[in-house]
Amino acid sequence: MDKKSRILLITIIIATLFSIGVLYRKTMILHDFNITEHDSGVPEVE
Amino acid sequence: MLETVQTIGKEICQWYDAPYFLFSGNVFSNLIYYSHIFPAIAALLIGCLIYFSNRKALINKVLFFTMIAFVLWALIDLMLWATERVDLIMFAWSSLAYIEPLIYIGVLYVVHIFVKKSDMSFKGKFLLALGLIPIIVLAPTAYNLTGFDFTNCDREAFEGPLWNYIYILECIIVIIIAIIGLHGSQDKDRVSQNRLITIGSILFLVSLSLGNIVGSFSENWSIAQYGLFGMPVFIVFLSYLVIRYQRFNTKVFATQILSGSLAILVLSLLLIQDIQLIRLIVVFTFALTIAFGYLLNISVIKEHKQKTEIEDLAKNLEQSNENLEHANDKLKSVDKLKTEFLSLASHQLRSPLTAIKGYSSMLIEGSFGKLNEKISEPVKRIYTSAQGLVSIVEDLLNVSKIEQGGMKYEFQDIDLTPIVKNLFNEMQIPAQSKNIVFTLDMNEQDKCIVSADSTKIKQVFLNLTDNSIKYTPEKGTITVSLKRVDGTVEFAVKDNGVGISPETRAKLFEKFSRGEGGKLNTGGSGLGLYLARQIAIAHKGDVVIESEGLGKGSIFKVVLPAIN
Repeated sequence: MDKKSRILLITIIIATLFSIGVLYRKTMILHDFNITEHDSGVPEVE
Repeated sequence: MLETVQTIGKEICQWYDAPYFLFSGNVFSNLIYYSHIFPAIAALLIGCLIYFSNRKALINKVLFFTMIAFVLWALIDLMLWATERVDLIMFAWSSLAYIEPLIYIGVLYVVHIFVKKSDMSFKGKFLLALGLIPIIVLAPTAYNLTGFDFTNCDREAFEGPLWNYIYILECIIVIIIAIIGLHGSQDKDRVSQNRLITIGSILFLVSLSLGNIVGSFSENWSIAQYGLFGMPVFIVFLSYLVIRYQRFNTKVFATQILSGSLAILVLSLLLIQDIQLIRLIVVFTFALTIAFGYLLNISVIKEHKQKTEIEDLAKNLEQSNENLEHANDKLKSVDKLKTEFLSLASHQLRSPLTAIKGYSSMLIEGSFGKLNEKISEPVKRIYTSAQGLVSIVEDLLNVSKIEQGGMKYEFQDIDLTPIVKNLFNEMQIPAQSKNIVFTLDMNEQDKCIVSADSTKIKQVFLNLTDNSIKYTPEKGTITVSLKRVDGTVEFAVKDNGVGISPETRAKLFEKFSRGEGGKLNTGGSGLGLYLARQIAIAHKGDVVIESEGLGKGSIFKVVLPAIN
């Protein structure tokens, strides 16, 4: 692999890992996601 | 809030715990397991098989990476079916935004390498990376999943605008794959292979994602599972293409893939209980059996035809070989007879010629009384002609000795300097008779000692010098030289005579070849150069001819290994 391609790949990998880290913190640690409830607060059972 | 949802989910929606992430009562059908686990195992095994078959090949590395991405996708998707944890659903579903485009990019890269037979340009890689940037930036945001859908018990997430971008990107990649595969190569021999890998790749990606896209818009996720059915077939399809693409036979490959697919489909019936699904698999199996049977039938007929043709060809070849063998035997015996005749005739000719030469010489010397002027001239001509004939007979005898392997050499370490000096003195008279400027270029300080048969090597030098005098017109120039050049000794005769064309030069060392000089009617047998070269080769040297063309003179060199 030439030098430029290697730099590009490493950059993408680092950016992706950082992004996954932020996602993990948001969902698994902070539980920062919008839970959409049913109007009455209780879900309908199908 | 999260804890409330989890509690309600378990109590009302009857969400089961999934302690091992992948297995729980939340999965509504075994079809889900079949459509995820089986392709994942197949992809992992085949990816490893490809990678370890040749770790250095770029296409193998890329395909292995693509298979790993697919395995991750399958496991995460299965986790989404099985788990009851909302946070895990949100994290895993969001992660698919990274993985799914990577599978598409991996397949595109594989097709590119296969069709173009080279790595993608940096520009192409950069464009693909640009396409990933919105995903990397927006995946942790609400543009990916806008929220968790708790309006029912289905444990789903709401996909945001990022997913629309991902689906559009995937469609663009499929179009690029089609363009590269169908129009990306000028190599006519690989058209069928390129088409196959394009079709296989597109079907792989379609069966991966069409179900998800349809499920995403219709919210009927069961549809997605049928698409995954085709995964193992296309994984094997692509992988086999990549492994065997250098020795590729379309029909053999298609037959092998069909038989593999049939085996997979029949085996899968053991794992399925749903009658509708069984019917679907039976239909697929029937269609593949028909296709397989047709291909096999054609193949067998063709093979039989080819076998018959090969047998006929083999018989003809055997007959031809026999005929060639007979002809070869005849040629050998004729060649032997020719050599024996040459030797016998030369011996028979030599005796009377020697007598003619001897007696004419004695007459000239006055052994039988003084000759008057009228008789003297004709007798001198008889002597000269006899001498010429004896020389030709000697050459013929030497040729026959060389051909029979009977030429004997007496090798000794000799100094070529006095030999060349004597030769130069001997040839002064013939040169002067044509008013040729005849010079010697030699440094007596050079040690020109070689291992040679002095008689034979002098004969070679004499031959070349004599030729030069014959083929140089009146008032021409000839230079005889002897030099030590690194580890060799070079004897050269340089003239400004008739010269040699490149076409003639190649033939001069053949027997009875006279070159352009044959037109000068200089006499000779045409064997001098042939003999000179054979003798030089026997002395571990060679004879070299240099000439710029007709009318530009020539240089004849004898190169021999020197002794220090």
